[in-house]
Amino acid sequence: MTARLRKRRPVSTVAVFALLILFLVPFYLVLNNSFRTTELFVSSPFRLTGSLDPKNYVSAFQKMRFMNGLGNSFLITVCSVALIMVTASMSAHYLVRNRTRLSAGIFGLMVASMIVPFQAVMIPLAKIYGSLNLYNNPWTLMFFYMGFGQSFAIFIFHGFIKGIPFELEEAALIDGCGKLKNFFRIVLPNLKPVMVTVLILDVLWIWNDFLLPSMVLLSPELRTLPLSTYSFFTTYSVDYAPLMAGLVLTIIPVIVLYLLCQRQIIEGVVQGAIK
Amino acid sequence: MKHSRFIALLLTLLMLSTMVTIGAAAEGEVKLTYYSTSAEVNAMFETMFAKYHELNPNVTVELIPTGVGMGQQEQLQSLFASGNAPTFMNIDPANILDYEEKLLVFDENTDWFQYMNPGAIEAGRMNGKVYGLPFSTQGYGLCYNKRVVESVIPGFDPATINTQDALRTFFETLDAAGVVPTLIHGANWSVGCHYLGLAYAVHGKDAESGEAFIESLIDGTTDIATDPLFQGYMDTYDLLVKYNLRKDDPLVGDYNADNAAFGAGECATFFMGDWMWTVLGTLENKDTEYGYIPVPWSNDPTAYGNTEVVVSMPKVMCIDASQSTPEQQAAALELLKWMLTSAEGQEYFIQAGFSMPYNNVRKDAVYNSMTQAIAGYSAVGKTINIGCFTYLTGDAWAKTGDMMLKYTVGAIDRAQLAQEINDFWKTQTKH
Amino acid sequence: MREKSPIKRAATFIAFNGLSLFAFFSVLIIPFIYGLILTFTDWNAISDTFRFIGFANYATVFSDKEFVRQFLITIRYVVISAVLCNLFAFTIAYFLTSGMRGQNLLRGGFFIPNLIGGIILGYIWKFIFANVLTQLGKGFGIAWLKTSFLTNPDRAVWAMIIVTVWQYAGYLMMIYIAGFVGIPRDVQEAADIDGAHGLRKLGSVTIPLMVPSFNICLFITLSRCFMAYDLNLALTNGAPYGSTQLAAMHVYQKAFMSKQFGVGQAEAIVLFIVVALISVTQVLLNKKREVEV
Repeated sequence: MTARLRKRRPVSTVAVFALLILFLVPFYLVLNNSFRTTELFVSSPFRLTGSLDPKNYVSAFQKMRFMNGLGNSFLITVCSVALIMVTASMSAHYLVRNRTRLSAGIFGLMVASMIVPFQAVMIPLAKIYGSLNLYNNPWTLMFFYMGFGQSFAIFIFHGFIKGIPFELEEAALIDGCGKLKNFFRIVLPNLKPVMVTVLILDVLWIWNDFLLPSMVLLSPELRTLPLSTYSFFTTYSVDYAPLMAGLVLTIIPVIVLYLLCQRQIIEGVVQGAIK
Repeated sequence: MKHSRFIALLLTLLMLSTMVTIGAAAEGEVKLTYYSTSAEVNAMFETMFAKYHELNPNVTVELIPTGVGMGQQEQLQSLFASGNAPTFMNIDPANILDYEEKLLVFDENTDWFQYMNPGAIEAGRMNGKVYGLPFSTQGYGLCYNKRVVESVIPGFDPATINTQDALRTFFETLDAAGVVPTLIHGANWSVGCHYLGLAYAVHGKDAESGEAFIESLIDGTTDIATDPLFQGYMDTYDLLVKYNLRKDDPLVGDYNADNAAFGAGECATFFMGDWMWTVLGTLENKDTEYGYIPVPWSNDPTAYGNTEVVVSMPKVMCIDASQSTPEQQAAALELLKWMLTSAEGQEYFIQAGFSMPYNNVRKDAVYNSMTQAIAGYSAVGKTINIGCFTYLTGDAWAKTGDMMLKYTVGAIDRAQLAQEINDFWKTQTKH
Repeated sequence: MREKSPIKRAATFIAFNGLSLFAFFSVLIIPFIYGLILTFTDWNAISDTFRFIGFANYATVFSDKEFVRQFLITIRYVVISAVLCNLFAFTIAYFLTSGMRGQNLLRGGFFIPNLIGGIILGYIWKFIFANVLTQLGKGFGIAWLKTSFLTNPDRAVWAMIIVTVWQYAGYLMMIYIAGFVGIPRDVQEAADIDGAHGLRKLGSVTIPLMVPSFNICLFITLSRCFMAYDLNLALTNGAPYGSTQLAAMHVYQKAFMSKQFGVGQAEAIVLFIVVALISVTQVLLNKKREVEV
């Protein structure tokens, strides 16, 4: 049947590929013009670069203090995402397996909080955490991400855990396995596919975030990569050429992660299907 | 076991991160923070601070830039709200009002203030007290490209453009010769603050006249449609719109593209200030000789505004007195003294093209032709005072600028524009 | 799974939810309540003092014609974006689960726009609309491309919709792919045996089974689009003349630029309530459908 499908669909295959190429034009512009000057970019953005002059990359690397930013971004992203994944999966598991009014209330509050405009909490956050002298500290930022990340992660985990048969855990619990132990031994390994999904989505969010770090991290040595691109923006204009080089440098780690996880995402999807 | 390995990894990372958290400053050292609203010269400030640290190893300065996608105002507000007020900052004089209760009041008898040009100290004065010190003089009007204009009118004298009719003839001559006469930057800050602002400011040579006019709009006692200055400047604006290089798509407002077009001689004039040199000056394909002509609003060559350009001190240095320690405030004051009045500090500003309002700046400093042209008007006192712009802070320039943009594309006519401007001011409060 | 002793039950609750709820409450709920209290004051976000002024800020919100107008623009943007995003993502997911050649590569490709943050992405698209498309228009003599999308109020909204679809389609596609792959094989085979093919199979078998996926995707698009700020700021910044300023951005401007912090904060609360009502209604409606199937 698959073979028949493949033969039958050359037109749609071509169409989807064409669509993808259209989809990726902005990336062509970024990559191509990261080797050219802002002036050339403005006058002829499509013309293929004549050389692979790394001038913009060198300038972006220095101006952004790339290694410093990379280290900060890496640390903040890894810690925040790890904290979110562990706490949210535990909480979601509890909420699914204990169908009480309290659980429903908490879950409802979480879902509702996903639509709180950030602007509504921005100044109160600054007021509260500033008066506790917790600003300008990467720990505070990680804690913020942990708080802001709960609802969406719990939302995703909740949906997934609902689909896992309870019998598995029941057996372990009857065997006298403690609840925490049961969670880490039996439930967590089963969450691998959805873990990868949450991982990717949260990494993308935190890695690229501007607003929160620019509020919390003030000292130059604490800046994350997106914050470091500030030097390409002036009040009314943008220095595109080094910005695009900086952008390419910034997304390389994410692309690597995505390529590493891509197989697992698809695997996860397939696993979910077999159940 | 898998998850134990994971937890070990997590703990290691958490421990690593503690090493990144900032430690307290060592004894005798002063750490200052500086909030910059002049993003285009952040690099200049950073090299300056590095140099100062070399000279005074006990003082370190950290620059806090405006975050991308964050407005200057809300970031400064969140810095103050979170107890992380910068020790010193450069802000628009108009914003001093917001932070009046938090800023250091400078002692006007401070010895080094004698180096300021006459009147410069007024830039940072609010309600009688001095809160800010200026570091640059900038100006705006109709900038013209000498090569392009002189290719049509050899030996062009900018003083000949002193009436609306003269400007019209000038544009017609250029147009007939196949040269695009002018360029309007289609962004609300340019047309709303800088252009429409002329119609308020030219009401008198002092800041109070413009302020009184705006206050009469707030009261509703004046209808802007009946104001000859408004009508005059709008007549001139129609002329600019008619001969605008971006006539087909006036609202693009791409600062890079407009600078590139003007620098490459695609049009003869551009309504913009000499600050554009920070972008235009870096282009490879550009002309280097420019001059300024005023924006005339009537046909009386002796009328105020027809032969003047705007000159102002758009940014002032302020020191926070609400959260910074007395040591930090004193250190910031010392640093400002070095930056603004020492030959070493001034050199950085000169190199970046800033004309400083201080009388001990070396006399042989060479500026770009735009800054020189503005300085020429300053030297003979042919300047427009935009002190009334204190009323154009917040969203006033954006709101009225948007109305001007609507007018530019013909979405509203002049009567509607006047009505919208009247309505807007009525919602504002007096200072 | 219920414990007998209430102490033990509380201990389990804390072990599983303690950290999660602690972070959630300290970062979101408490600041939100604090913010709510501030809407009843005249605080300007800078001053050290404030007074309680009752519902005055809310009265201002409902008399702010601009806010109402911008709310309508926002709804138009959200509805069109949500429909197009989901339609597009669903269609692509449908083709990319049909055993197409190179489908893994394609799945990866469509997801790529999610790798860049909203603000830089907005600046790049701004450049594309203002420069690239206009150059193409001039080069090939295509009249409607000669002027920038971003200088016409109507087309500027479409520009935002295009970028929104571009950005979210790959993300939603992943969820739809998971949904498609999750359809039990025996149901599909049964449909094949019954002679249901192509569109009929899609309509009568596949789509009803995809309701949970629709549910999640609609919730995500509705909430994200209502909250759209980064993109709005970087791409149009409200241009031309304030016509594309969406609700979230208006709130921001009001609070900080217009220095009416209390009013801005009150508008944020109103925005939250409206979006909450819409999203909850949507989720409840779809939940009902899910049960019926």
